Amino acid sequence: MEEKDIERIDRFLRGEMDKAEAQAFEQALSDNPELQKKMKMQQELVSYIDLMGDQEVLANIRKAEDTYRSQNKRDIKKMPWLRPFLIAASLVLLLLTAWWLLRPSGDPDTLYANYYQAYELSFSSRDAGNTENLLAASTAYNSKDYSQALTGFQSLPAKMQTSKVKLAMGISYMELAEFEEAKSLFDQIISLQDPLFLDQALWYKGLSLLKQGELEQAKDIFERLKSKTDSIFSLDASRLWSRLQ
Amino acid sequence: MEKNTIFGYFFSYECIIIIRAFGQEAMSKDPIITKLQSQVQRDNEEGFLLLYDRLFEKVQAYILRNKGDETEARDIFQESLLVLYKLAKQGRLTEVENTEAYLYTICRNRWLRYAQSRGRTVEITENHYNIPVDEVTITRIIDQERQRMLDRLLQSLGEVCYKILIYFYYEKKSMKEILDLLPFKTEQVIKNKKSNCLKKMRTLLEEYPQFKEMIQ
Repeated sequence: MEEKDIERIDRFLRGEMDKAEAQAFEQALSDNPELQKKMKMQQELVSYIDLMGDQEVLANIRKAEDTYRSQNKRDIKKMPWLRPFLIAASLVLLLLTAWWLLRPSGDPDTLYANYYQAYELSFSSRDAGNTENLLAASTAYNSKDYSQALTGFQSLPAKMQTSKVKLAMGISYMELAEFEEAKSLFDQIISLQDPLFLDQALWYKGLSLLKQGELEQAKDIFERLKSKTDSIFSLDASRLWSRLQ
Repeated sequence: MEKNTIFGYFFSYECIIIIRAFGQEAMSKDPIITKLQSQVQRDNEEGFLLLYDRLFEKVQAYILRNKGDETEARDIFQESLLVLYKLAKQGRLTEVENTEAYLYTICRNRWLRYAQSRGRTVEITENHYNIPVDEVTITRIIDQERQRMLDRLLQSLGEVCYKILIYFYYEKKSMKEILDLLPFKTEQVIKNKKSNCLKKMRTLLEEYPQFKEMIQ
């Protein structure tokens, strides 16, 4: 296969041709059976290269999975003598869990402390409009300087007060124990039904209500999140909801 | 997410990375994406491990709730990590705001497609995530016998050829980028080498027709 044909085919397959060039190439392809054959051969080769690449990455992923499993699990097969102890421990754990679930509802402050975690937010170039202020505010947010972060976020023009910024502001208010302000911001995101930040807003609103002792309302929110089985917060919401029963 | 779990540890670890990265570069990317984009295999593995720690339990719980089993959850998660990796390597995740949510969406979509293709009815809740995710083709996880054949192909091809072809075709790197990664003097030298490597690969495939079965 001539080098220049390979180069043309590669450029076409990689989407590097402009519109006119791509159209000319497509035309040449439909007129020239020889070129069609070369194209097919090249595509076949690229499939093998893809296969090689995928398998190498999968091997790497499996290594990470093995590390994950070995960190989270003991291999009891290697220690058969441990089995009876583990069974006994599991029974004790089961009883403790039953006691834990059946005991009166958890203390809201403890539950809040166990489940609250400031959401990690990174602002990309897409957020840049008022770059300097946004960057300063996000740096303050990620450095846990929430007063400074709030000042920065508030200084942004209204059009930059996106759901993401509002979420960061809401969490900053939570950190500063100003839960009413926080709830108001989460409500704004919820009313917009922004699919990117709706679940986060519900989760943090639920936690704010929990912290304020408004347990029935908090339960409603966690129930809503719990029923969203594909939500990233579903599992935690379900656990919290059970604890509030 | 409970603070006293392993998740809590990685959140704090991640925060440190974010703060450091902010110091170095304005509007930094997600550190996990940076790890996946790295040319150092150890970094890639760390990125995968972070995602296992943060998300695997949730994805598995979702799949088990939706008529799947543990093996399927494991396969779906592996395949989704592969999709995320390829998108990261090809520089197609620059606009992603939340890698975790993005990966969760990939897993959920792949599970829905897989379950539906096997006639299992999966309930899609009304407010499900609606993050638009990019698509990329990946090959199915292959069996050990085929893996051995593939290893033989790689061995015959040689490391330099393998790297050139992977960088150019798999990771979609430009010749200029490849020049930075491999000890060649000019882009033209790499182009010539690439051409020879393709010829070598074509010959190998002709010699071993059984390789062809792998991509069918």
